[in-house]
Amino acid sequence: MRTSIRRKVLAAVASVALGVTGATVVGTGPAAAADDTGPAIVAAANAFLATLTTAQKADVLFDWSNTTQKTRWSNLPEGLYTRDGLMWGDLTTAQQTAWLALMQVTLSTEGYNRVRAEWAADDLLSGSGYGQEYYWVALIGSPSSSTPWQWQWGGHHVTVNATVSGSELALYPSFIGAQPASYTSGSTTVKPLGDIWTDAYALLSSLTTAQKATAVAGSTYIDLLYGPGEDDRAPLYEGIPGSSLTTAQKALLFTLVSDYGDLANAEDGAARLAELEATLDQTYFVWYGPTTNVGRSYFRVTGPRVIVEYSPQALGGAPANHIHGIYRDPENDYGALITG
Amino acid sequence: MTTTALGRVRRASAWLLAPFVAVILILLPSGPASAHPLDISWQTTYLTLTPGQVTVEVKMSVGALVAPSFIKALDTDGNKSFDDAEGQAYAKKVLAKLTLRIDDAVVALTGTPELEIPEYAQSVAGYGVLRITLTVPAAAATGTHTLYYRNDFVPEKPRYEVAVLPAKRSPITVATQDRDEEQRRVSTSFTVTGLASAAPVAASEPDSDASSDWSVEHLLELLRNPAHSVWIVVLAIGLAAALGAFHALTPGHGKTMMAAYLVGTGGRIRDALVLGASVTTAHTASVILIGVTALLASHYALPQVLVPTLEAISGLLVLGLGLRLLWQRRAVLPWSRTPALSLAHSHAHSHAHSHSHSHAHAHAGAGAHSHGSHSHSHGPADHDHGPSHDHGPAGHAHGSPGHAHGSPGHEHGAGRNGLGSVIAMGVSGGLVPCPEALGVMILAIGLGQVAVGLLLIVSFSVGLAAVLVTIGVLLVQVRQRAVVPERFRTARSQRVLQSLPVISALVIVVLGVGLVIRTATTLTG
Repeated sequence: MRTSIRRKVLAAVASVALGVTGATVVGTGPAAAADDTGPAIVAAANAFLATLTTAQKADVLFDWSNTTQKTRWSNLPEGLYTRDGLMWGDLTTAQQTAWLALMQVTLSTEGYNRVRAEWAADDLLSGSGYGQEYYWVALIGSPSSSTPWQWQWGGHHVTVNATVSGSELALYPSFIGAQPASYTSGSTTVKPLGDIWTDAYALLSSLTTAQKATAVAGSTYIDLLYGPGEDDRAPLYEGIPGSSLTTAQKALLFTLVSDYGDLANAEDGAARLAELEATLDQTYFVWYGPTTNVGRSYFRVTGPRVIVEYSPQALGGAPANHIHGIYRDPENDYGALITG
Repeated sequence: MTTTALGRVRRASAWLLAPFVAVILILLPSGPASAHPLDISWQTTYLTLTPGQVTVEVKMSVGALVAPSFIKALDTDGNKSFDDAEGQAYAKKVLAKLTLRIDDAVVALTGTPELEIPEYAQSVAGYGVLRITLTVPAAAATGTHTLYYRNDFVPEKPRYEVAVLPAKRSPITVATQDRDEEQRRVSTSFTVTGLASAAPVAASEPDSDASSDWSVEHLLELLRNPAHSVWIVVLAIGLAAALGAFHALTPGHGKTMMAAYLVGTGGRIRDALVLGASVTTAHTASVILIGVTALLASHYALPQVLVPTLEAISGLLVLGLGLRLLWQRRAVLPWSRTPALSLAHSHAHSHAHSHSHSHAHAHAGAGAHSHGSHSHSHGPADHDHGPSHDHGPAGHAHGSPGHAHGSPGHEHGAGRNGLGSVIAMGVSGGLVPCPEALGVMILAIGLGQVAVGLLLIVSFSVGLAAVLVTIGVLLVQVRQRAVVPERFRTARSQRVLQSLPVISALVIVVLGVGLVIRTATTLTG
């Protein structure tokens, strides 16, 4: 609760100081800390399991000690990477609905909408192995309020690894990408990562020339350093630290990392934002690419408790329309901190 | 829309040209900003630092359009499959083109790297990733070190990325990384802020193979967890003793000196025991000294300074002792004019060294006496020689340095030295700590388990001592049995036997010189 208010105050200060719109800066964070979401997540997982046949249960459930399955995820499309569990296209509508309910109760509304939008984008890609049906679900460990477990959902360009331990939740590592990064659904233009780019660019734009000299490390985008398979790497502190930013700039940095922190439901999201805020001074922001608002620049945010990367890719079209991204907590990937 | 014949021809030409233009656009050399991953060979290098080690990882992702050249270079037998030998051959070419310098000294990227080899089909599709991982020793001392890396491996349409990272939870911070625009090169510095913790971060993840890893490091890891029973501690101590015993069997100057000394002096079993114990005590003490000193002053590059210093002291001690022994034994040298008095006394005592003289002593006063042509003084302790021993043709002639019987020393000429010499030799032999013991100590400090570390070091040393003493006793026994019976002695065998002490003194001198040279090289290198 306290975090949420402070964040809004910081954001308001930033919007006044920089003359940017509140919609860009403030965002929609968790309104207030709610009761423990843990039991509801466990209940939703068990409800999903109840819809499965015995054979499906055997396929979707993995032992908690199965570290191979925990790390078996990728941004590659079906056919170029072998996942395990149950494939979305093989589930009945009731089973799919039950799984979506699990995702909804674990994630915030904006987080859920973001990953659904990234997921839906895959339907627009042509070729075999692309589309929502080629996403996979798995449960590692039995859903329980007393012992840790993980739900895993993902496919091409988006994966969420949600580790649940009692009342705590860790949504890391998750792959936050999209292709196309902009598309039309009905009469609406959908940009699954649009607010992330906007917030990152707002922060870059707020920097003075001297600060940009520190924050901008290259003239072209680079690839992910912390992508799938790159687990257990320490953060690379590069660019400009939070401690060198003004209050208004710091609020923009916090808004940017909150776009990722807000992936979690209101209760767990509040705890997450508190972690991000507490380490904001030690959190760095670096930019590779044009400093114009063209969308084909890479940025990275690294702090003691966060690693975020946003990396345009030229493969399959304009770089700005094909984004690879990662969201990690160097201390808490796969729930390392909360699962003992 | 153009409908004339000319227009149709122009349109047809445009359609025909389009693919060629597309291909040319793709294949033309392009700047990084517009480069297309389909025609890029990405090489991302991770340089991960732990105290004492750097891990070089080159991750190579090759796009579909440049895949044929990559596949041709990797699949050397053309069987549409990549095997480990092909991967290693390719990795060797890559590693040969990498330059890594730490503190301006080239770090040799040699050894067999770990490989992650892609499937052939993945590579054809442009999604194959070849990962080359090699861990090599690097600067471990506390303080700041410079690092320079450059990747000169140039596959078709290369693009580079490089990051220098500390290993998670290691006491290392990496400064700003200065790269060129291409990211082929990076220069930075890193600071080891605390003591080297050799505990691999990844080891915190339990894995099924852990039970087979019974290194001391792993045992210390186990000890970090208070949930483990006291039996683990007992087991760790037992295993540390076993490791010490095995360590004693590996090549080392301590044992060599011990052998040289015992052979040369005609040492007794007691000498062997004292020598083994003093080597071990010195060995243990030096490790503890380094560990505790480093603990107290962890901000200084102590291990780097202290170890060579101890080596230097040890080398000089060994050299001095060797020269002293050589001087004492010079009588045997062919050009020596010194009567070979000591050699006349080079007999072996085949009994425990407690024997009495049967000759009469005319005591003029308390402790002072004279007999025959020489005199010597006894300390308060009795000097009891065995019932009979052969002093050779020259009779009971004691060397010129005198025959000082101090409690409890007992010297027969220059061929044998007192307990002080034995201890000095042992201390110098054990002063330089072995890397294993030092590693255990430093690791124990790093883990906050100093007491356990000390216990393990002591246990390690006890195992070491047991083997050294056994070796020493065996040497004494073998030497005694090797003595040629009087009646079979020839002039030649006599010369050989007479030369032994000098040869062993020379060996000690050479060892001392070697240690000094090695230290000098370390300090100046």
